[in-house]
Amino acid sequence: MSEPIQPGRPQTEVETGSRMQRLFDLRYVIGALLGVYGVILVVRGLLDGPEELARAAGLSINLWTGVGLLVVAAIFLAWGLTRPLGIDVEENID
Amino acid sequence: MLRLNPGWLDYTLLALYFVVVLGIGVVARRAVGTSADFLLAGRSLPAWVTGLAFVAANLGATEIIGMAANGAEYGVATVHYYWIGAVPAMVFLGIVMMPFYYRSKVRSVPEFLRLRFGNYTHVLNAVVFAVASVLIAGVNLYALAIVLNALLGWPEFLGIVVSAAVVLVYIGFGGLGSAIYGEVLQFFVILAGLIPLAIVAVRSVGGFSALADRVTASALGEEGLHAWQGTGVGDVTNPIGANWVSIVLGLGFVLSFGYWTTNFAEIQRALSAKDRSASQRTPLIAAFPKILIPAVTIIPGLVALIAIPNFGNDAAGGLEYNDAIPALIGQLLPEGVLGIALTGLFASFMAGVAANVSSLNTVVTYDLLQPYLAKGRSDRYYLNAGRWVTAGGVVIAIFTALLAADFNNIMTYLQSLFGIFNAPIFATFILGMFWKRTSGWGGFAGLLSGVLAGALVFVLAEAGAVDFGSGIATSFYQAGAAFLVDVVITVAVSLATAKPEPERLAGIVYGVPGADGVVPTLRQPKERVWYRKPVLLGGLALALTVVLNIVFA
Repeated sequence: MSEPIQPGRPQTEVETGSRMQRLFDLRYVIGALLGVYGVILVVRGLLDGPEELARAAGLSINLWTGVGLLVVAAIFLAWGLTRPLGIDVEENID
Repeated sequence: MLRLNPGWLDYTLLALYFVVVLGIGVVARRAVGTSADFLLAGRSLPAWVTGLAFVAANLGATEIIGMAANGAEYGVATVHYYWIGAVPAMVFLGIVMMPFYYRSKVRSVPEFLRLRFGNYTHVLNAVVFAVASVLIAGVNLYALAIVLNALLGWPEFLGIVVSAAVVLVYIGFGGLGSAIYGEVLQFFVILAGLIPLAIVAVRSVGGFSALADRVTASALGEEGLHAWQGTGVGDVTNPIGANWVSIVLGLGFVLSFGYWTTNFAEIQRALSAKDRSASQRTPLIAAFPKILIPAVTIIPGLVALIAIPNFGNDAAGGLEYNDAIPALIGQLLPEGVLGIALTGLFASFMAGVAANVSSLNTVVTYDLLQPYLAKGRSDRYYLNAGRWVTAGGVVIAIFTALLAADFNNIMTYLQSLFGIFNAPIFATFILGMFWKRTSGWGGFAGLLSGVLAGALVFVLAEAGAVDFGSGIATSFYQAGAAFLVDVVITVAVSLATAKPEPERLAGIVYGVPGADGVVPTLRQPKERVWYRKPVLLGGLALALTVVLNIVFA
């Protein structure tokens, strides 16, 4: 599992981290967290009374932040679904 | 006055974030089997991940709180830290220097110096970097402790220790992989807190034109709204207190190029990209958010200045500049967004400390232990060493945090450190990469004398022997001195000593073919789609920066 390391020489073969990437797709994590935040804020924003509005200079900031978060979450989830890991187009090196 | 009253919902949002970040750490642990997994995270990440981690690593609590403080103290001219002091250097890194780093296959920035100049320069740079890392990690810890103290009433010492423990668990599990994934997540949460804050802040003072009028009427005056007005040589009236020459050369050239192109905490993110093209795009992708971040740091600073009585006036019992963002969060955000902003502050703290700790453990393990102090051990030894260094670094950072408590403006303190440590390294790298004649002794003598020159200017200014006008101007001159001394000494000593052996140059110096026959040049990777072309991305970032500088001149 672990490759021998040659002391004092630059490691030319470091091909291990792809395991990290295969464990989970970061796009889903971003989408999920921001999505949950978005839903919570939208619900909170719909319940906001005059006190909350006055505090934020009359702006329904919870609602709008929630909507913004949901949009970003949707973009990441859509990106993850349409371009799953592993079929990334090969890039040119040099 | 700063105390918040977060509701259960705010704490839920914060707790949710910790669950996800610690979850990443725990899952990432399954990917850690070797020291390379823990310390390098492989070279497999896509450019958007490394790019956002690159910008988030610099988006620590010090950056957010410090830049809002600068916004209140110096006005719009604070944009120089972004548009002059970051973007050109990031573009230069992506297009000119990254190909050399990536091709050399080094695991750290000090390791490049080892290949090029030999052991003395390597040890000097590795030790200086390790010391700077724990100092800066300490500053980040202190920044969060102030926030916890002010917002939630935690004693500062408790805040420092608890925050340090969280970051220790998180990096100790998954290493660089979880640090980078966490940073990308942090990037979004930080912005999700800061963008609503900036919008509400502007609205609370009656919109942009009312904000501008009131800043003009404030202590900053008309020039507080301009980046370049009043920065003439010999006639500095801009609140930033430095003329345009020292801004362009000191901050723009020496200080920022030193930081962005040689700071391993940043370069490490680009080195973990999956190929050369992705590594080049890492700082270029990072440049775009970097261009826009001042909107969410400087604007709250300006609003705090005009909306909070006696802001920045200690004598009259007002709040400190560093309180700008925490104070506005408390005054303006209702339950809900308040929790997001609080989480964003935690996240930004973690981004900063995680970056410092995850680069510190790599340098100590691969640049000090493996080649010198504990040669030829098993890989398991180095993996465990990396974990212990992580723990040790966090403990030392706690003590540094107590030291940082003596400085009024965190950012000036940080800039002082960067001026001493980073400015000379950039000179050494540029000469090493592009001038074949640079010898091992030249590199060593130049770097050492550069660090000493920077430290000397810092000490003289602290002692009051020289006066450059403001703390910021002092850090510019200090960086300039370090850079110039490094260049002069490196060139002089290189010419006086023997030419470097050819194997020190092969494949890592411009125009000298490597063992594989590839000649390092600045030819850019061929990409078919426009958003993957490094030169195009870099050009776009620079063009946008020029336009913004003209608009806010």
